[in-house]
Amino acid sequence: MRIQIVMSLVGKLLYIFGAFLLIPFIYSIIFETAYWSFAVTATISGLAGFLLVTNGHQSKSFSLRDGFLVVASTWLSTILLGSIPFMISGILINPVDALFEASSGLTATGATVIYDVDQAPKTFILWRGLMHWIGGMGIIVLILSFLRNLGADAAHFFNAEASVPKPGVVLPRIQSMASKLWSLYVVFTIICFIMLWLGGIDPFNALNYAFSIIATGGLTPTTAGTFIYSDNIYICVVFILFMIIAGGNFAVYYNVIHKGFSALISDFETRMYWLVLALGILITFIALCIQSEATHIGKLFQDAAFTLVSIQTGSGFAVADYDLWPAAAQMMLFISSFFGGCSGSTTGGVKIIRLIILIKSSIIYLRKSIHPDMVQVVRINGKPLPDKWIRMTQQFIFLYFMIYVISVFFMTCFGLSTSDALQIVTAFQSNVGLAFANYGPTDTFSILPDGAKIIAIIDMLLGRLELFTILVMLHPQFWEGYFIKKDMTKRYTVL
Amino acid sequence: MKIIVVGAGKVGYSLCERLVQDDHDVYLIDRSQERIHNLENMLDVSLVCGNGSDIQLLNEIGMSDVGIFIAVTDSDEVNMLSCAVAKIAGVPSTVARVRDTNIAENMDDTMKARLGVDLFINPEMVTAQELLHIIETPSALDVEEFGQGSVRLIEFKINSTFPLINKPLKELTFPEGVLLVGILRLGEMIIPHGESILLPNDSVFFLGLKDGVDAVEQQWFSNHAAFHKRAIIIGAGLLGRNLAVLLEKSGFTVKVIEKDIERCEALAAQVDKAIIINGDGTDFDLLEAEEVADNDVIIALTDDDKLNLLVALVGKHMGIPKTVVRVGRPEYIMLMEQVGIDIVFSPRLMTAGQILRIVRSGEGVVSISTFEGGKAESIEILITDQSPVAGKQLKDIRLPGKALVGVILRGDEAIVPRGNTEILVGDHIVLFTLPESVTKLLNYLT
Repeated sequence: MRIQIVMSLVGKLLYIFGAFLLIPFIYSIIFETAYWSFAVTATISGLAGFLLVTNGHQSKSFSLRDGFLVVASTWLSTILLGSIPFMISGILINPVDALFEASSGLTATGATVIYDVDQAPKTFILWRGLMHWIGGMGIIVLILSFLRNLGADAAHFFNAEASVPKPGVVLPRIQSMASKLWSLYVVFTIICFIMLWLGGIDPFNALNYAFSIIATGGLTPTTAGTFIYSDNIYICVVFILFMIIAGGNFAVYYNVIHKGFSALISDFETRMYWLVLALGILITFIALCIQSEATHIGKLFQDAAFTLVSIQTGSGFAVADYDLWPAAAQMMLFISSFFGGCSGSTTGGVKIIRLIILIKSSIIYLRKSIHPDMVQVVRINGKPLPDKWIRMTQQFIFLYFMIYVISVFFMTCFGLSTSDALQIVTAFQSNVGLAFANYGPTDTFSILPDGAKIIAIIDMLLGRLELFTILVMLHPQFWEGYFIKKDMTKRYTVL
Repeated sequence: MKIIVVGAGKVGYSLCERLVQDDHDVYLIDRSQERIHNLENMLDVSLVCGNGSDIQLLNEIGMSDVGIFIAVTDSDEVNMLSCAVAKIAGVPSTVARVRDTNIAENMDDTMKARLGVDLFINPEMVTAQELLHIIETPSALDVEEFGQGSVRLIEFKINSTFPLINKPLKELTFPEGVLLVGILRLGEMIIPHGESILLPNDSVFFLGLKDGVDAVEQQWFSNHAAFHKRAIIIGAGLLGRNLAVLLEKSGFTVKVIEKDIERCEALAAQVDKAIIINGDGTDFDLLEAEEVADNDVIIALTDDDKLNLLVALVGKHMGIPKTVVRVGRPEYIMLMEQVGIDIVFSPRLMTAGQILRIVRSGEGVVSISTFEGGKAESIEILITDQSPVAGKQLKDIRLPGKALVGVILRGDEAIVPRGNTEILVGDHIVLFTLPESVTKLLNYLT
């Protein structure tokens, strides 16, 4: 069966995920009482991996749909496995809650159903942070850098996890690119950790925050979260700085190492990303100034900058209760939550590059209505963009909002008010993890009905994998031929 | 001088023609036996059939006394390789025609030296730049710059309402620092003197300091008020694409009409604002739908001479003030100018002219420009201590042939000479002259 090729690879990925599950277990043995739930889950992961590998068939030749299937099934199984420790240990007895927490962690959304984080064992806090960190850059990208010799078709996995037009291939081999991206990711995390530590946050919390910031996650290691730093300018600046970095394109950062900072400045998407952030901050700040007495201008600006960056990059930290802000400022936050960061970043949402492509192609469309025979192409960084990408982007936006509308409808079916539904679906689909009113910065999602939580889990996953990877599997033809019995060992491969 | 030219295409042919005029010994190498055969009775050069990169063939011709090696085949790579081989064989100076802009632009001098190519020339790019100068000065038929732009030579057309016609030149006063250096009448170039008069349909050449020449333009020829920097180009070949990019960069509103969709797309990948229409440039309906009549200049650059003429005439008829036409066959130039096209140019003559400048520049000549398809030339010459004119006053100098000294460039200063102006060693003098006098002048001055 062709499915065996996929099974073999997913099995190997589960070995590695099992190894990650041992990290919180080891932590618990050293610093707390041993939480065997992690050891059990690690065993399950290893066992499942073993079964898949032994029944699977190792191959170096993957088709595109194999790529989609590997990525989707890896994400689904890691979410499942990630939730098991919560259930076994009784931290979250309701399986839906446990799954919600795990998907929020792995998709770097940062929504939580744990009401009082301070009461939870630190091992589980670490696990949440770790899930953020693994899922932030992408499980597949991570694992690609571990597994060697996947062959040329490894690009399929890379593309299935983030289907954004890539700015010029940085490295010839997709696997060396994956490991370079991850090493950058690790370096940023370490720097962020050290800077937070120097700012007076204790090492455990600093590490968790570092995981959360670089992954643009949003889960916090304490119940009070980032609110306690609202008067600490140093911590706020470190947060803002690293959230902005995490929202940029890591492939461009890699270019910076070789070509200097001009690589950053010359990248059109990066420039637009900064511009959009700056405008958003300015508008939010002005809206805030108009409402309140202008006594703490500096503090208002700090709040506006922190909150907007946090929402747009899909992080979801809060230093101010923006539910009390004027409607215009709230709306600015809501709109920017759709934008997201750059392609090749850890953020969710539509992403700046897609906005650029759509705006440029809309302008062309308008010009074409005056000059019907006009020929014009969308150019990014001076290079023409193939029509294929433009059509894909248009489709993406349509699907994005179709899924948005359908999810909102289902949310209201489970008893949510329309405004709540509109806001929280954005929070999930763009992987922000923070909404308004009942689900605002001071609340959790524990009061959501179970049905709504399931919708939320689906939205988070769709948002993280940028729709196509999951949606493509809904087509019956996708599965055609996967289960036809055939001796895989006799299969002829060109390689 | 012994010169080797590789590639007997249109450019190679025109180049050899000019080189022979300048009394050079030319060897023309081409791979095609047929092309060599066709040229046998047309050119006074040594024709060699073979591969220009073949060292044995080059050695047979004898490379020790070759002064300059010029490769102008259709292939950039062949040209570069031939130059590299010639350089190894000991030719002091090599020139390659390379049309891919990126190759030359992305290479620094040391790389060029290691490659063995002294000079890259990109005819389509240089031609586009020359056209840009002309289009930017709406009333001018031609514009040339000397001394880093401090000195200009501009050609204007005299119409029947021009206020200064039918008067002897000695009665006219032009702004400070400007000379009327040439009159082109019915295809004949006249170096004017005090009794010369201007007639309708003459083309006149003004040479002088940039400000003075611009003042002449402002005073008698300008229609800047009606100039809105709108240009339409028919044909997006390599030249059309280069020109469209340059025009867009200089702030023009550019419209391009091209039949071939692939050429349209190639241009679309290079520009942001220019409107590129995939359509037939002779289609009246399309031209009207695209409001062609509102443009300041129409530039017809397709490969078809007849179509270019037709499109330009249509444009003229619709009311476009300035028409520019590319012709493949230089013999059409005068004909087209007589039916009312303002500027007619032949890319291969321009290319040959560009290479000619390089050939001559070895002999103390800084730059040479040709006008009206080679009817007149302007030369910028460096005066060395061997020159017989060094240290003399202008009134004491008798130049051989017909020529006028327009401007003297001394350091950063540009001087409009009078009779008592002394020419010093190290000066650059800009002369306006007729082609038949060029060799005599150069031999005399250097």
